[in-house]
Amino acid sequence: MGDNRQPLDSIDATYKILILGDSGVGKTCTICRFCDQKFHECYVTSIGLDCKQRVIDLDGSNVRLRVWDTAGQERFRTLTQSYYRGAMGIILMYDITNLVTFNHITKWIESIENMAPPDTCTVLVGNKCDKYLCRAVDEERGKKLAENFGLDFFEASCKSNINVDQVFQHIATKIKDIKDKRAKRFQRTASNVSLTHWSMESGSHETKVFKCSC
Amino acid sequence: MSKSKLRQNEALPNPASHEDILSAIDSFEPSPVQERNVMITSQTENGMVLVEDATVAIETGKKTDMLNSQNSSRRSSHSNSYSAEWDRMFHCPNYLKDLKLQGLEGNLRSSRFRSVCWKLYLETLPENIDDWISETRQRRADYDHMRRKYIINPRSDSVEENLVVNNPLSQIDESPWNRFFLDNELRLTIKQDVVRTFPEIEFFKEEKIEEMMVNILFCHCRKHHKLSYKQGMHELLAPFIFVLHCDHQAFEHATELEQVSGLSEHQRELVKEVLNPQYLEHDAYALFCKVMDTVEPWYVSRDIYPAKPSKTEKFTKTPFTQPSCDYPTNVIVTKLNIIQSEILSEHDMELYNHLEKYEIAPQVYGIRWIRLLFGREFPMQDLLVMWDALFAESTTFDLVDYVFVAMLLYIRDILLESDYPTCMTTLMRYPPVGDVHFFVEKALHLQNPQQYPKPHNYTYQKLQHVRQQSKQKGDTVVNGVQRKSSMNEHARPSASSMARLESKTPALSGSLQNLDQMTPEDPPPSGSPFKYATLPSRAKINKKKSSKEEVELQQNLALVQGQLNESQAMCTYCAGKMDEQIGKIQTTLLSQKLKNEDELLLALAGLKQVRDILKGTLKFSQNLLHLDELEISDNHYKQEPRLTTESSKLKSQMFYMSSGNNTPSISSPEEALELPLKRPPKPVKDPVPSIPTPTELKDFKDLHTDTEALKFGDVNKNVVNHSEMNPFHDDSGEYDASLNPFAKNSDEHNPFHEDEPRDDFSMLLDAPSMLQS
Repeated sequence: MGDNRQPLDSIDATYKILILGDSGVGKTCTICRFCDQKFHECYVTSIGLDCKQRVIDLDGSNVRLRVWDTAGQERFRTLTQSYYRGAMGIILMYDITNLVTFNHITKWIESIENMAPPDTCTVLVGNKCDKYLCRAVDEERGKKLAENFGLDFFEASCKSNINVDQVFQHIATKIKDIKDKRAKRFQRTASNVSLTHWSMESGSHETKVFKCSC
Repeated sequence: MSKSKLRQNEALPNPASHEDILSAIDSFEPSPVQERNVMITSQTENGMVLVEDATVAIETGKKTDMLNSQNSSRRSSHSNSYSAEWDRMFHCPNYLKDLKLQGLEGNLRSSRFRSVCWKLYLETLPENIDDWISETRQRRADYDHMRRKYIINPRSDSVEENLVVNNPLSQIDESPWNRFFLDNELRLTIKQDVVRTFPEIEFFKEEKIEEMMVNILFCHCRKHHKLSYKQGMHELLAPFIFVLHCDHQAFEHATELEQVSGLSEHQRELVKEVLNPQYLEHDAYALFCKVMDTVEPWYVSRDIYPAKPSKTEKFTKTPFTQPSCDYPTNVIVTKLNIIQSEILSEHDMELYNHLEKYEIAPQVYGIRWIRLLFGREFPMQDLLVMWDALFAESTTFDLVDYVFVAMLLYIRDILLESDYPTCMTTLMRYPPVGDVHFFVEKALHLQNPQQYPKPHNYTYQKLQHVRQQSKQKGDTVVNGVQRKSSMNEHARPSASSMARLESKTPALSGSLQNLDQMTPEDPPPSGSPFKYATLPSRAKINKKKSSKEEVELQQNLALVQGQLNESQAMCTYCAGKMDEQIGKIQTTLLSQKLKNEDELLLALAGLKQVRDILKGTLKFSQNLLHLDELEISDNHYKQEPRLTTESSKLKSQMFYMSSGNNTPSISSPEEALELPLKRPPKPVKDPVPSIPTPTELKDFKDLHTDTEALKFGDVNKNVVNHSEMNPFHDDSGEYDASLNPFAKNSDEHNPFHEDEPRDDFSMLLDAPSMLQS
């Protein structure tokens, strides 16, 4: 898989990230650019799923980003749960030279709302910004759409390697924030639980034992 | 495609698979084609050296002989001209059956009529050759008709006079322009995939071919509008165009070389019609349609958008349910789940559990495998061989499921010792394969174990071979580097269940006592070489069912052959393992300067003999059971052993002490490795296999563990009774103590007697039982 330069034991966390968007917007390309630091003009059409990973440095800790690639046409029909299970970040992608792919973004967002686990961090990316001469979607439109749905927005280019790493870095940071928040919340609840536990200790000890063995 | 263009393509740095085919087509002399045949044959033979060697002794069966004679006749006749190939393939009265067999056996690798074979397999050509022309013309006319119907040009084709309707700006549904714009959209979608078809093969980059593919896919989509176009179809279509094109070229060249003169006027017309390059598109469509008829359900994914699940629902879902549970209507998901949870679990529970443990749902990797009929998993040339078999087996492609499982089993060792990410990588970037035909053999066996013998397991040696091959292939493999690295990492423990034993080996190096623990108490995993123990019972069931004696015999034969293949693999493995351990034991022993060193070394010598028999360097025969007395001098381990009884050359390899150089006739380890392969083939009429069969081993074991008399007893200073150390001493099953002069009256010489009822040597006797269970 992509980048294995870091020793495995030093990895602090693994984030699952999905890339969604219409066929041909450059999903596979983005993954290859990010994970292998390569760009090819021509990729085979993705069928089913693919998965690559790269370890990045996030505030001093090694985080492995496991990026899942899917066929644009696959949508949510066959992969559904196994694809979405445990997803922490989603990169939603369209092609700035192709208006149709942009118009489908709302459909994709709808699907994400349906299928993805809550607390997923989604980023909207307009790809192929190197082809500004063929631009069909203004940057402003992208921004506005992202704003409407409360997403972060980037324009990127795999070919010219613009913003690719930034997108992933950004999404990783966001995921970390969400995780940290959740961890704090958990700690708080955990301490609450231990408190109740404490107070129960004096009470019915036997009931508790019964519960445990059950 | 013109010839000049073809050559141009050839000059480009294409992957070998493509180039091979093209060069074969483009050769103006017949010889390169022949050479290629030879190359492929030897290549396979390299891969199967052990297999072929192993089967020498057992090729007594009628079926095997029949197949072999067919093979050899085919191989030799490959050198014949175009017309001869035609005659051989299509001339005999019952040719279709034979043709299917050839497809299943992977014999169409270099055929110049693969497309014709596929047409026959997929039933776009009838079996009766006389109907070929009419059928072909009919199908082509149908396609032409359909093309005219679907591919419209509103400017010229339109019959609509009303300008309100026939108007590019018209919003009316019936407007030809409306249709036209919709079609264009569809064509663009298709085109987007078509331009990405097999990017490593130049052929598909030609505009003409791209256009052709778009047309075919478009027409198919229009005709099957419910299914529409789905990604992946383009890659199912591509190989058809490729194969048809190759055959067309081959025919053209044959015509130029006047190789077709061997055909009668009528035949020549027939070939010319069937392989007419003008109808590449038509024929490709016909074949593609036939495949799609079967494959269609695997592409259907009904829009079963679930109602937005409530928050609570999300959390109450059992965490380990497969996604299929939610959407049972998807045929491909159901199919994949059946494959993994039924077929795979039946044949390899361990692997199944492993995949379950990591929650690797089959649709994660399997959708692509199945939808593309393994098109991404193998290079083009291998893929075509795979398709030969898939199509030949049945028009419903039942073999797909079993090929799928065979592919999983092939990489089981890698998967079993990998964590989740490595598993995923391995599954998504399938490692390179030495001989793709192995999967066909394996799949056929899985599908119908009665009819098809179990193929030789891919063992350590085989994987090494694969590794070498992958190195040779180098850049021809997409993602080659990644694949190679994963292979290299994992290539070592390959004899599947044997890995289990291997993991125990460190403990063994110390003392002989530990050998005892090696008895595998863990249940033998299914799919391992041990599994054959259950097979005979199947044969019995089979006997009851089948009334025809011949069928029964053939099936039994296949079973026996499979068992023999397995036991041979097992023996090879055991010999290697024993060699390793003996070496360790010996080194430790010698370093300890024990009092009873001699006895222990003698016991070791006995072990070595067993090893050599397993290895095949020491021939096992009935004679060995009786005439087996060996006299050795006191300082035997420093001198060449002196034989007193047998003078045969083989016997001279029987006894020696130094492990570094443990076979007297062998000077280097490399030679030692080769030796089993050089073993002269056994005469066919001699039914005694050169290796002990499991039953024999078992008999022996029972005998020797049960009989007190067989304890390692004799420590006669000068003479060693080899019959005692020979585990195969008694074939009758009745041990006659009187035959053994040392059985009873050697007590005073025996340091182990009485106080150690199960001494080192009797443990050694347990070794065969290990192999057994």
